Amino acid sequence: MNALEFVNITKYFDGKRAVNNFTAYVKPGEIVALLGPNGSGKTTLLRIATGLLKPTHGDVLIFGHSILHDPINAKRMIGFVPDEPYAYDVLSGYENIQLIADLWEIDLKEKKDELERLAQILEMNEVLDRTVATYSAGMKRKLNIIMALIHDPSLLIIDEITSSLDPKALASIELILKGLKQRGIAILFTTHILEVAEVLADRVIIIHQGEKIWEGASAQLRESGEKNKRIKDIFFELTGGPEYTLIMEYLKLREKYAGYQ
Amino acid sequence: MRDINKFPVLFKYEIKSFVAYLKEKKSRIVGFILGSILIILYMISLLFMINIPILRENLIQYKDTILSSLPTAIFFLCLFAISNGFSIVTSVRKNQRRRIELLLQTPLKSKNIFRFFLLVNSIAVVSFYIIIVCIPLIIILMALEMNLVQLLIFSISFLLYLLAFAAIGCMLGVFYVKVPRRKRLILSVIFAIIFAIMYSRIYIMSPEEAEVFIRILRTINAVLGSSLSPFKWPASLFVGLSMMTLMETILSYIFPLLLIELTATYLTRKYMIGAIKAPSEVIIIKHKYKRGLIYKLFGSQVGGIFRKELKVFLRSPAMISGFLFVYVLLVVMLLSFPFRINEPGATRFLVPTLMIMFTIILGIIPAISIIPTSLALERKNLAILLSSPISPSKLVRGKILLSDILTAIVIASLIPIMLMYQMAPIDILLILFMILNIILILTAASTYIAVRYTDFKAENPRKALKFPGVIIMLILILVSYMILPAALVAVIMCNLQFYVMLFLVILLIPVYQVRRYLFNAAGEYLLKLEITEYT
Repeated sequence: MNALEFVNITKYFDGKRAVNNFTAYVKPGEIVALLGPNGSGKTTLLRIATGLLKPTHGDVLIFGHSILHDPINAKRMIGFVPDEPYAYDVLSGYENIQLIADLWEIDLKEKKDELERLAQILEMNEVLDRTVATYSAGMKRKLNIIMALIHDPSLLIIDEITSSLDPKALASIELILKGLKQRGIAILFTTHILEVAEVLADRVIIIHQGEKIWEGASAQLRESGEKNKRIKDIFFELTGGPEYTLIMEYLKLREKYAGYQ
Repeated sequence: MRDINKFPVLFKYEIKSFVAYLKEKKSRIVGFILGSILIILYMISLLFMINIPILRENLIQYKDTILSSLPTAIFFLCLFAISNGFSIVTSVRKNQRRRIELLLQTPLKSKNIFRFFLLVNSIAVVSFYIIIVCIPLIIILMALEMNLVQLLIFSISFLLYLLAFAAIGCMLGVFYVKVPRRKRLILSVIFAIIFAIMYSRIYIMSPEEAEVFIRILRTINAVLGSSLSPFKWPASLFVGLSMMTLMETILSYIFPLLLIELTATYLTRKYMIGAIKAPSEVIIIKHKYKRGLIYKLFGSQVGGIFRKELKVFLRSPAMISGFLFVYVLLVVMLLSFPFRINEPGATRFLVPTLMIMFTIILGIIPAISIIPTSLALERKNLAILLSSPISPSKLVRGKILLSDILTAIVIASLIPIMLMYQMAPIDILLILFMILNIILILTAASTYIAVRYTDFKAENPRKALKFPGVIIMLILILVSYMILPAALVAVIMCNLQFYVMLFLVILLIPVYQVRRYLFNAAGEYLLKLEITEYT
């Protein structure tokens, strides 16, 4: 059984299509990276998978439970790290984690050691008893990662995995994710840093304008292009690269304006 | 002053943003149009009333008293302008710091940026005063046969005063960021209690107390009416034309302008040296893994949401002071008001009726208004709840539990008060069951309405309920406010307390079912919300 299955997902926002007939899966013990330029529909897909958005057509199955028709059982399996941090500012880090433990009906006291270890790894142990209002963006992000992991999800969904994280924290997360993968946890993440996807993911899915345009093992992605090409160039070939002509025109116009001054 | 020509451009963008704000929602346009119509009607009726001969004669008869009390009126209006200036910066038009920071990046002179900031916000305050206070005041002064030149000179000077004091309020609002959260909480609680006691004392003032109050006002008026008082200067010309009054009139123009300039200078200096910053306030909360009684009673999910709601409530100055204000007001009113009525047999009908009326206004309304506020306060964090494995009804029950407990506190407070009035036990039970039934229904109905009609993106969570929701809530409250006291009096008159009480006890069963149904419906609706509707 797949850990996560997108079944013909289509999503419209005010008549505008954001995702078109998207189908994909993540197996237990597999790490899948979802790549695509800004506005390609990555976040929309993750939000649909977590039940925060309803698809216009299609369904998402989490270990066989439909997110539309059996949401409680489906959501119980998911740990979600959103792109922008969600946490109650007036509550402390611990209190936010306690809320998650309560919602997932687990006794946080029993997970005290595990929580403290994870907090140490992410250098959060000193700040968890402080109100979130005093946290930096990176701290909030790390708190969200703890909140997503604390209830032992079978499927971990991370939007923008590198966002607000320093290199040390990112390296720690990568190691944790690899460890979780070996223990059978399925992981789906999005990123703009293509090298991270190449290193971490078993499989890569590239979407562009809401449609899947490429899917395969991350090693395969490099093979699909010419040899010795940077992965970034291959990505640009698939989704479109910088607008070189427009950039030149803009720089020329700037020069012209600067000349008048 | 080379930047002065930029001011119209900046004002244009302020107006554009206001128009865009209105256009954002149909309800805002409707509200704006309705408000404008009401103001026009208010003006017309005022003009009409002032032209009624008897009224006009009476006004002229009291001309001297009215004119001599103008300094006090100006003084209090200036105080209100300070308070409104403060709240426009701290709660109505939040996040102005970002605008200031943005403008500070432009090549405009920093002092001009602060002049502009104070002016825009003060004008917003003063435009409200022009409609509510200035125009009626001018109409009254016209009825007192003041000439147009006098009126014009007074009006401009009066508006400048309001602008200046509103600017001081705005400056205080900017400085408020320096007050730590804990101090804000303590200050809010203290002020809420003081204002509630003051308000209730004024409302239920005895003739002796009223006399003392008037004497105090007269003393204030005498001080404010002296030539040294700036609050006398705008109205000086009404007394007559002399060297002294001319001087005072000139001063009435210089004083507010000087005040605005000094405020802008002080604010610029303090802001630019970085003296207006929020204190780095690290609040340490020692975490306890203990689970309380609520967990045992309602389970982990409802208990968890309740605990979160309670902590947010206790750490939010606006919410806790709002509740305390009405709660203290209710208790003081209920303790004092019926004692003022010395009619024989008053306690039999009057006390129960007052209990019901006050409880509906001061007990139920605040409790049900917490629901939309608490929903709107969630904003993007609603995603935490909606992505969790919780059933719709549990989610709603968790969110409503705090409101239920607060109402239970209100009901529990009624019991000793009713015992103090030596009410018959059967009457006490009747009132309690009446209130219990209506609260259970109203909180459930308002939860459903709140979920359906809350603007989850509202800038001010306390005004998050959309227009149709406000109307439905008002109808519900008005209906219960009109029916319940009348029904209670009828029951007591007919001596049917025991039977009605029994009926009310039985009624709790269908009421509970309806409540469950409404909670489920509200929860289902909440779960259908998409993240784009609240982020």
